[in-house]
Amino acid sequence: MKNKIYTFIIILIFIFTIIVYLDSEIIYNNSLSELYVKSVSENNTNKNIVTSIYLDYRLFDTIFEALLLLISVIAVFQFTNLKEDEMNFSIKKFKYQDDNDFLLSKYILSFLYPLFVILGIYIIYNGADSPGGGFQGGAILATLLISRYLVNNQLQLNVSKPYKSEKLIYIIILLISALFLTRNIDDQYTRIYLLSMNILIGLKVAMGFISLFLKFIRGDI
Amino acid sequence: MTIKIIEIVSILIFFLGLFMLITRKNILKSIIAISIMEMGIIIFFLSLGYDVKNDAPMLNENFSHFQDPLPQAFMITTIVIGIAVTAVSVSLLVILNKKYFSSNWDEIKKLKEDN
Repeated sequence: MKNKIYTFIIILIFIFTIIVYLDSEIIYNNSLSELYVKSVSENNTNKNIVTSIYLDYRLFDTIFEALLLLISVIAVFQFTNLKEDEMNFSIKKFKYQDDNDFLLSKYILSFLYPLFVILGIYIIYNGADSPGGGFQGGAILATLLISRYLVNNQLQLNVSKPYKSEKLIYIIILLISALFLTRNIDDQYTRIYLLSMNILIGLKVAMGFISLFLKFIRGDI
Repeated sequence: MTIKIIEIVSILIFFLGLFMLITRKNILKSIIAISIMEMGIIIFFLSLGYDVKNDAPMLNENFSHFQDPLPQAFMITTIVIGIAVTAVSVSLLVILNKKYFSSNWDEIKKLKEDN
């Protein structure tokens, strides 16, 4: 009975929102993005405008976003109280019910997962000129380990390596972005800056996702 | 007035998530509901500057014929934040489940009051 009342109220709010949305004339102001597009076309260093926005004009957004991911990984590790000697574990602890159920997916993944690496590297490398970038490519790179694990679940993996290297990469990101913000990188090196930031952010995101995956796959956190 | 289907669908997805968040008692389902609501918000923002005739925001000879790049840059941030929120909340659920052997809001509340 309670659920029916809730459903009724939510449907009413939904219909009300739709009516208000369709009835009102939304004035969409895109002067800020026009400014960004104009400055990108004047500089003419790279073609992807989204990359220019999140690595150049809105760099602080990206720095704090990467920090947020880092802190969430630390939070997951701290909440579950993992000691240093516990970090070396066999992934064997998490068992499938029956290995034969996954034979087909195992076989297909076994020759597909090297392609994920190529796709991830391609997307990171061409992030400045084509759709893609550090975050997207990093997420694709992180699927490498997940598919590798699905093929062979007897893997011996060490979670402390990605956990520590993520923090190291974040410090390098901070240093390079500090160089860029203080105008120590000339305009002619902007392309190299974009490429290096894309690679570092991709690696950082991949390491963060891999350490989260390894933490959750352990089974008995 | 042109009816924008993408916006309506995104609002519908948001309200589906809200419905799931209110009516379901399982904590894992609540976390999934928050993710669904976030998807609705992402689709709404992406559709704000969207036009079927335009291309992806890459510079070409006749620029001004591409989608608005600013919402797309914001939504990359939102997706990563969503993953972070989901990971932290799932780890909190694991701790709760370890302590109370339950993943139901009501049961955990009751057990907490008893102790």
